[in-house]
Amino acid sequence: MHLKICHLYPDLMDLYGDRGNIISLVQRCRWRGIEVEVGQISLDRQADFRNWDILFLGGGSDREQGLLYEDLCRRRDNLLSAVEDGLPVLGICGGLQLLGKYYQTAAGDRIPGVDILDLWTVAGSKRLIGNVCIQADFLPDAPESGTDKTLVGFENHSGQTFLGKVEPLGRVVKGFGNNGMDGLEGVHYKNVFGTYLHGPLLPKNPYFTDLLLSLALERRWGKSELKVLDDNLELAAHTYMVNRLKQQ
Amino acid sequence: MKLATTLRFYCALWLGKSILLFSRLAGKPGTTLPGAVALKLYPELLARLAGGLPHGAIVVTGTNGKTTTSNLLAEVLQHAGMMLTFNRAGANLVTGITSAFLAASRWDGRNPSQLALLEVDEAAMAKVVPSVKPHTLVITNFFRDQLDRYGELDKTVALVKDTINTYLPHAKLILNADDPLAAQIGANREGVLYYGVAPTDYDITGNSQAREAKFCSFCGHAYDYELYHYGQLGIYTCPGCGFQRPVPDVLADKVQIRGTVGVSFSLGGTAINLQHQGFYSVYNALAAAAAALGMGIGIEHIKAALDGFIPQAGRMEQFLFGAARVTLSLVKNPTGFNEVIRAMVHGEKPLGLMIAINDNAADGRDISWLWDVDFETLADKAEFVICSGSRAEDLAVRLKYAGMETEKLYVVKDLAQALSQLGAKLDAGMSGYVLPTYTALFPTRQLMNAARSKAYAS
Repeated sequence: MHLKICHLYPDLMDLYGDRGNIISLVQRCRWRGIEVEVGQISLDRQADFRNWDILFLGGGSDREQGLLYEDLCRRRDNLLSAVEDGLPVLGICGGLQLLGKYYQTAAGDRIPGVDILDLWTVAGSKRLIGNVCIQADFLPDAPESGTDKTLVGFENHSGQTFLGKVEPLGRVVKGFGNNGMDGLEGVHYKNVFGTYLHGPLLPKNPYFTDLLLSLALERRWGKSELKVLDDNLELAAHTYMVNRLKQQ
Repeated sequence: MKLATTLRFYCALWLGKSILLFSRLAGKPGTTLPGAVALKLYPELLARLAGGLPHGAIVVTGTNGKTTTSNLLAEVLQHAGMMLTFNRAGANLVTGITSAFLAASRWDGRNPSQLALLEVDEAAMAKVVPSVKPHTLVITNFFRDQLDRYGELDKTVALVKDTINTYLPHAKLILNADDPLAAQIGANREGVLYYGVAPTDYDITGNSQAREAKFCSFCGHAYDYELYHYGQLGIYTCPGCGFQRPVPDVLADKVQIRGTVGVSFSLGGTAINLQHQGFYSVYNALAAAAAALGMGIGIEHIKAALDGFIPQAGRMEQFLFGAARVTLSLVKNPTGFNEVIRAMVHGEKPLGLMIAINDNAADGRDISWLWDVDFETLADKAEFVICSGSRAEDLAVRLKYAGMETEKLYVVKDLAQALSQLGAKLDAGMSGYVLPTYTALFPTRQLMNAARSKAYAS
């Protein structure tokens, strides 16, 4: 068995240790003897997303997001058909915003997104910064992990995202979430997961990482069982932050 | 000056100086509080105090190396006989700089210094520069640092550039030619002095290792790099608009890294032998030398000061810890950490490490930068790593995913316990390193000094 992970725009969208998410996916495959290949797709490089197993899109600064916008729009139809086919996608921060309908700047201009998810983002006047904990009910039951279906990470965004007819990734336990108002965080549509949580996200939320891998294996190879790994360090990092946030 | 203004000036001055005096009597350094209180009372205080010096002011800013660069430059200037107002303690926000002026001024408001040398945080530039109006501005480099405090790097660079264009249209700029983010600030300007490093034996060619500034600031095209010294520092050209690394006016040639002894290079034919470790030390010394040369200071003062300078607290500082030699060095961002790793793996001996990651405001609350550090190159060389500080678990996870066996990782959150474990595990055949973030540095250093004096006593 092998998996192909597509890191989209790694040169433009790699703020906040985003490569940690790729490292996490890769290592958890290798430790289980699953072959894994990471393709870096950037501007003007051809790619058919239907042939990939996981798509990762990280965050970038405003300038860098501006540089890739036209390129991403050219890929829209292909991306949409891969998404409808069940491609697991993880979009973080800018990656979340770009998948939506538009981004409205402080001046009121609307920069259209690729419009794959029913969400939109409005520039806010203050940055939403800090550690976050969310309750994410889509995560598998894992009572022995002690994580209680939580995800932890760090957010840092000025855009405020609002959801239309689409599910959030989870509900905010501590932190701001999509906009600091409606208590929702991220987005979940089919196998697309969008979130503002970096930190990076996957290393200290190993159950979420494994869910992405299971979905990818299921779609490509029709089987999704994963060998159990020793996650003591990962869960220690996870529960430290959950407990610290609970005490605030 | 009107009477009321004069009164407010003296009230602020005396209040500030009194707080400074009491802080020192209480055993505190008083590096920010006196300035903070005095500025509340009289916001123009900094401009007044900075206005009267015969040789004006020099400002050093940038992401990495500004503390070391300004310490080196202070050494050179003092060697040349100048008396300075200097925020030596690294308190580089407007309150710290005002406190430095309060400390240097007499109770009658007169300041005997000839020149102010000020290390200024990038984010504080817009507050400090309009009051201080430096005639010379040194920029070390721009890297990603503590993002949650500044927003994104592009914004930091834009902020510094706007401040320079608005308040310092005629100042002399001393810029790092090898950093495209710093060098672009000098485009279309007169009175710029560029410093840079000639090709060395340690350069990297081929794959881009730059994590910043991959794209031209003027046209957005990706840069072509002939070589990288480290990070995005190197020799580059933009194939889109032709912007390229400026020819350095002050050039470091024949760079030699000499392990724990230090680093040497040639500066216009004069051999400079630094007692600092790591390639980046060349840039710190070079920036200081360029600023001094720009002020007309002779090379003999520069050589003497640079050669004689002992690294200050927590910047590659050496300790004897039990039988092993331990180097203490502050780590605060990926580029700086990678350079420390490069210096570490250069040695022959196996490594024993204690790394302390805190996430207080001064460290940066976001620790995702740990994933941009190339711990992968360290995985084979380290016998063990003791992970400490408030985010010890996150560090341990990072090291595990960098390929270190979990048996070699120890999570000991308490700094004192972590240090005593380090002492127990190190032997004479190993090199020890203690690498704390900012708020872990001072308690760690105190503990190490206490252990050292105890060892002398017994």
